[in-house]
Amino acid sequence: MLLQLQRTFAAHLLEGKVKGASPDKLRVDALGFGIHANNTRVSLRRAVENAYPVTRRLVGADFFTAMAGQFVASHPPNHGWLSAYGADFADFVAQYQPAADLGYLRDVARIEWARVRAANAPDAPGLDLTALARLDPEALDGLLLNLHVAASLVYSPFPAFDIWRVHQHDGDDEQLPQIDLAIGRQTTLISRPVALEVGVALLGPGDAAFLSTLAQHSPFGAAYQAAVSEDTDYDLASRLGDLVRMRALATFTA
Amino acid sequence: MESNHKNQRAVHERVRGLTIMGLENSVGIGLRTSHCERFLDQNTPPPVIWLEVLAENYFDRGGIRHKMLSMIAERYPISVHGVALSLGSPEGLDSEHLERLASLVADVSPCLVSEHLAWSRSGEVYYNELLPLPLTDETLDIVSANIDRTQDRLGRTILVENPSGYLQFEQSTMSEVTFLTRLTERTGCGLLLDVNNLFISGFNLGIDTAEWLSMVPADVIGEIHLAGHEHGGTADQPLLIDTHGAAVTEEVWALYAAALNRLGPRPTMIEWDSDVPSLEVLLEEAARAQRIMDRVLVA
Repeated sequence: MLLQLQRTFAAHLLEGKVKGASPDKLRVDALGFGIHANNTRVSLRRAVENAYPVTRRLVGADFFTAMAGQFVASHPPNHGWLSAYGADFADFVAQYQPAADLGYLRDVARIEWARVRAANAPDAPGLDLTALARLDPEALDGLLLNLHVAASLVYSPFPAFDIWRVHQHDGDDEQLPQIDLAIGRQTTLISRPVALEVGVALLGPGDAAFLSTLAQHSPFGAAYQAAVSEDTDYDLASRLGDLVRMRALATFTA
Repeated sequence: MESNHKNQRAVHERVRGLTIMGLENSVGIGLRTSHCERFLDQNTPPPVIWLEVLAENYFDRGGIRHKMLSMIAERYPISVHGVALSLGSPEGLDSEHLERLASLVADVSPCLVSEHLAWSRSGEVYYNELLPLPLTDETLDIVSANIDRTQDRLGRTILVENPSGYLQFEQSTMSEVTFLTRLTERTGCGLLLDVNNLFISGFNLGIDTAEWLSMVPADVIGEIHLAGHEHGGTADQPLLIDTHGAAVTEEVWALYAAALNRLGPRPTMIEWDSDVPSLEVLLEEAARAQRIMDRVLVA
């Protein structure tokens, strides 16, 4: 009996349109039911807001409330811990018709989700350059390196990193530098360089090619070739040092 | 017979645990993200005896939040307060949820572990809200089974919090205080008395708060929560809403004093987790609770 009662109760928590309506079968106070329904929707929407503050700033509070509200109703969480809730919001944003002319919005949202992931990812050692240096050239060439568990790459055909960066704080929009969308593509690295900090960095074309090739499980040699074809002056030794400092790459077992 | 035995064991465990920690007469506050750095400050650590965390905020084992909590737990006793285990689910507990709770408990060795008399999950969906239960024998069986499983997995007893009520079910066959008391007898769990919730349920549902306090067995109350609420509902049907987003009201302070007079001093926690104010505001609320508790100790 309790099982059925909860199913009836739950079915109306997210979809009720009229404020204060309660399911007929339950014969419970409509106003009281409305408080639970409202708490449910508002708390889940806030969970999305907390993960996507820049996306919210870009579209404005009212627009975001409507968009996140639809997301919550169509993609409610499956777990009682919300650190993983909202992972598919960027894809939702991409197909949300009222935002169709904001092509970059999805990519900014992806940067924001990558930050959440980086913050919550398990602790794991990063790539050790001395171990890399011990490999003979042939082994290095064929080495498969993974991104660090906290690291993600976000490729955008738009200057998504610049857009994300200038909207870090609430403030007067007129004070913000205008981002020229013609700047074109940007690849952003999101990682956790030190224990208590998430880093967000714009990658140069060589680094972007190098890391995205590795992320596709191609070997080290192929990644280097990809980097050089984007940037003929790509200085692998110095770039590797920076990427290791940003903890972009995982340790490997030879 | 068996339940009596369990109950005695539980009371013994609670008293022993709190005495070892020295928390039995002290006030804690909820740990909020915006205050974490303050608790890691070596030179001027905030003057608070213990801290309570929302369990589910630390369910990722690793990462920044977990690391911060581990560091803070080295300096302050921690109470773990779950909000999403859904003890009222006839479908049973989510095993992964229980495992993550057990990992957190293993990691921070909390002085107290608590959950709610509520459900928040149905089928595959989690609703992030403490939803109400009809108070029946069937519900008592279900919640008891879920508490047994939780306590078995954690290897310790938990405290179960009274809800803030907005509606009642026609199906209910017993009062809230009777239901909670029977739950403690069945499972050996203790109770977390949320004085604000009790006040809200008194206002919204007509629960007689004095009767509630006189009927509950004093020795099962292992912790008290204090929080703020707001006015809602309509002009015809005003309701109080539990927001954890404001100062404790004068009426709730009065009910807290009445509760302590009846129960004796209990570890008390200021719960303020939306529109979180400065740490100083929380510490002032805690100091006020401590003054009330100290008067009870002297009397």
